[in-house]
Amino acid sequence: MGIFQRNNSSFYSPFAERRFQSRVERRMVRFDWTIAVLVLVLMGIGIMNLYSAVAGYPERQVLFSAQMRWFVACMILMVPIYLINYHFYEATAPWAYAMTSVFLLLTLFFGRVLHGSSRWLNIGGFSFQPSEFSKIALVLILARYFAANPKHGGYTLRELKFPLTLMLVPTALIFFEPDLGTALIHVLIFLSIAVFVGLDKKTVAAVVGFVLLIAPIGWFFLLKDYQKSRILTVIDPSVDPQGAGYQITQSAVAIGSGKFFGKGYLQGTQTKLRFLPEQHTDFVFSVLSEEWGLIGAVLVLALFFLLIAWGLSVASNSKDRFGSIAAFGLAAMLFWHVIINIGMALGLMPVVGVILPFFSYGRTAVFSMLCVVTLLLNISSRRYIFE
Amino acid sequence: MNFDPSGKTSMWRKKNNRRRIAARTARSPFEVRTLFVLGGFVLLMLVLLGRAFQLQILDHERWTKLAKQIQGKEELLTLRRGPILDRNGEALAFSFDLDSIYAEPKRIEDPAATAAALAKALGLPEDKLREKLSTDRWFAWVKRRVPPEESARVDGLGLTGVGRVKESSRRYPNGELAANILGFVGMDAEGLEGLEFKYDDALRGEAGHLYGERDAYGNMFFPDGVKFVNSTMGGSLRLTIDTKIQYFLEQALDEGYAATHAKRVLGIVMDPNTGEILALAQRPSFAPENGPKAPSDVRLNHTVTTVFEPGSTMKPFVIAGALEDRLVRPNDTIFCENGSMAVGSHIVHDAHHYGQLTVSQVVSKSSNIGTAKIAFQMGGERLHDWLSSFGMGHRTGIEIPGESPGILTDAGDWRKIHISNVAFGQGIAVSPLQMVSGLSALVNGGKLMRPYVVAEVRDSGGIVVERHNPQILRQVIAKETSWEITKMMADVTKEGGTGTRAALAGYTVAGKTGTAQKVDTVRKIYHPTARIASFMGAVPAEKPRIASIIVVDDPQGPQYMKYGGVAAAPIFRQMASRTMNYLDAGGTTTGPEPSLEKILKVAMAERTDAPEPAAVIEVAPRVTGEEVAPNLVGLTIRDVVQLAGRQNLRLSMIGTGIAVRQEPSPGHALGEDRKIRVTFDPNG
Repeated sequence: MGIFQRNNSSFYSPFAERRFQSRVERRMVRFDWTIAVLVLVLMGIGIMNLYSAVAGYPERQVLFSAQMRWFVACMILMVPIYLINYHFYEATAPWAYAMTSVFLLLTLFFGRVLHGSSRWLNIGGFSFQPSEFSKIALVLILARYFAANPKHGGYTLRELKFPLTLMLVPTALIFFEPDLGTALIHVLIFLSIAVFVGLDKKTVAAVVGFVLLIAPIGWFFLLKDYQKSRILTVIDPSVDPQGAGYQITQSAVAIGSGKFFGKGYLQGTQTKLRFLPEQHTDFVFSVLSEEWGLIGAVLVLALFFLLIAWGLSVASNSKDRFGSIAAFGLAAMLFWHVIINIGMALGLMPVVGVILPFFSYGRTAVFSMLCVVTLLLNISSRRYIFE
Repeated sequence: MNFDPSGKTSMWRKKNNRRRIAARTARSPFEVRTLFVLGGFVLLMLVLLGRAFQLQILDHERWTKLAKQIQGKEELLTLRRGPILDRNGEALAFSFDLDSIYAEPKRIEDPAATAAALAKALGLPEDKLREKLSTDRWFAWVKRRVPPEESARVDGLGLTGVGRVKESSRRYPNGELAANILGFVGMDAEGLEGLEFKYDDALRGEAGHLYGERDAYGNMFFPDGVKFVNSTMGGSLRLTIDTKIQYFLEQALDEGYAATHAKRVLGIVMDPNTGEILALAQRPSFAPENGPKAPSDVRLNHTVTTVFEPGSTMKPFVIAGALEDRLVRPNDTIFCENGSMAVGSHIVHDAHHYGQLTVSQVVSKSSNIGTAKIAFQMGGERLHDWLSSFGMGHRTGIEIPGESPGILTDAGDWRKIHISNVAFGQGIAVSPLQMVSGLSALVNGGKLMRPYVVAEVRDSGGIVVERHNPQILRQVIAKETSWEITKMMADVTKEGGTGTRAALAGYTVAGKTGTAQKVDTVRKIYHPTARIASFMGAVPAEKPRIASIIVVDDPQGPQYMKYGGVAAAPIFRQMASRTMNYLDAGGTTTGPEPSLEKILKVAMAERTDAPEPAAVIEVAPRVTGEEVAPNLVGLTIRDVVQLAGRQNLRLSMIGTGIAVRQEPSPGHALGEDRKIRVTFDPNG
């Protein structure tokens, strides 16, 4: 594991000789600057891009400074999350899971309905999307379960019954909000972790068979018409050029007309002239690609890839099984957000409303994505057996 | 990956420890799966990159074009229409540029001062202007197409945020002249009526526009200032109209309109040998520049769109048919029943109590009874066929829009009284144009020519894209018959005829008067006193150069003033005398020599079996779409080469002169190689 192999044997570590003044000092010395720098760079590009995305909309320009302030506020909130040993999160994962599930249930009944779906919950004047936290809770509870129940030779379907149920509860609640994108992320997180912890070969065959079976059933009985039309328009945008196809077409026009070097910062016409739908949330990548061209797109994709690869290395180097699985799950979560959001902007995916981490506007999303990064930092800094 | 709390725990079991060390170097299952997952991630990332590459590099042209399309803006400038010229190249309509003043309210710092200055310079209400300039808009017209002195005044003010752009303005230099032929244009110079409407595509050119950016809600932005693409010049028309003759006709109509107090007077002058319309007019008329405001009844070109019962002018056509059928000879005598004849339950009257009249006299004295008797001899079917053969009941195919075919009912329904009525021009309706083209066939040797008013259509580069040539629709009667009937009609304007007021000094006029009872449209019966008076005539009778009809709709005054010979004939004389003086002084009317038969297909009428005449013979288009051969026949080598070049045709040419044949023929499919074989003949 050449590139991920780090010196995690404390016997040879120069730090082993050191006496730390305090726990905080220890956390600072072992801070994973690679993750931090990558995330800060992404956030910097993200906030700059958001400024351009809202520039064409006078009523949205406040969102830029709101996001800026929220970035700063969240980073302060992240300090205690970083300092608390992640084993605390392992211990409290069931509680976190239960709480988010209750929130999701409440959202279904008392949530604020926006554009026909109920995704927002207001508690004590603070409005947030519980589904953003439920992703993290799912990672933690799955990591705890698989860490506590190791299995050589891969898990069988019977052994997966419980974690599958753990995944299906929030997924179903989110699915009925409805929020197809976040539900999909939950499923993908579960599948990723399942692959990571190892599956029985027969189980793999069974799961593949199950998916092939469930797909047509889901199509005919579970999906709403607008969800179907979004999926159909990926296959052929001309099916519905005014409705679901409109977004994909406008996004393709923005990205395609950006060409190699882009139109220049704040010069994107599709963006400024408000042709792009949801350009500050779901379609931020189109703004980026229009103004910075292929070069900008490749750079951002590369930064995301480095961050995710580093997350995998954290998983690979963690000193315990929980840390490994949790780090992996978090990295996978980042990965699927990037893939689905950018795939959506590029017209490869249905328009399902998944944010691009550090780029899209949204308080809950910013908070939850910074939580993901902080947990990675947390696990990374505690990779040594001897603290 | 190391799940052991410490290495120490296994130190006492060497074998186990060795396996652990081996496992670490050989990679744990987690590490293998991490690599596996990483591989999957890389793969998916590459898919995204590939897609971005496809959109931004491979297909970028398509998306860039789309982006421009969506953002492009069409705030149109007026069209720069091409001119309409008369046969001698004199402009009947043309376009010239005037400045239009616009404002960019966003850039105006002091709207009140700017509005005040502009209002003064342009004579606009200041408060409205100030309101317009105080908005947050990027663009607003201040005043369009202003006179040069106003434009200069605005320029002198040197205002910021106020600009000028050249816009085209349509002018008709001769006022009302030929208004009903030309038609008129709308606000943006789009053709609305007449030839302006019919040939709008050829004349209009490309509309210019402002360009800037437009957002998804359709609002315009001009972040770099307002920019314009000017309208491009359209193609031109050359008509067969002669401005001079048109003027003579309109002058005569004006006088006639005033003298007769008629509801309307109409007139057409045609070259009987070619079918070219030399003049066509009506009173009341309108000035094309105010066309959109003119009442619709005045805008309508009644000479082709309105039909009327012609009355006695129909008689020469009946007699000509009878002569051609050898039913009568010019000097045969017919007993005219001393002025009244019973037909079924009706009685047909003559104006005078005639006894024996020769066939010639039946025409010159306009005997209803004589004509009716000849028509009875001919029978309803044959009468119908003859009139149809002269073009009654069919559109002539003239380029002026809205032409009526007239009303010629089926002969099967005709009883005896209908036959006699039709023979003297009641119970049949024709347009003035049909009458004059029928007259041309009577006097020109028997050929029915297709009347036409557009000689050439040229594109903006001056290349002829459509040329209309004289076209013989059919030989209706033999030359000899034509000569006989012309002689009879010449007697009409001589002493003792009904049309003496049309006689010209120095010329013999072959003509015919007509006085028809108007239909009372309310009571559905013939009006007791209202008449339509008409005169049709050709000069000089020996070899006619002009054929004309004058129709006076509902002249006022005592009854005798309503006769065709009284109300219409003088208008004809007025027009014809000036026209003939002008033509003899060197004006040209005759179409291109040599003989037309050679150039064009002659559709000879089978006289024993009167044919169903071709209704409208369209000229096949000179420019066609991709796969169809254009019509090159009748063009010069030079024109053929130009047209072929523009349509990417491969030419193979034989001979010199005028194109007479082509393979594939017009309208037929072109081969893969786009090859077209054209045969030329110096004689056409």
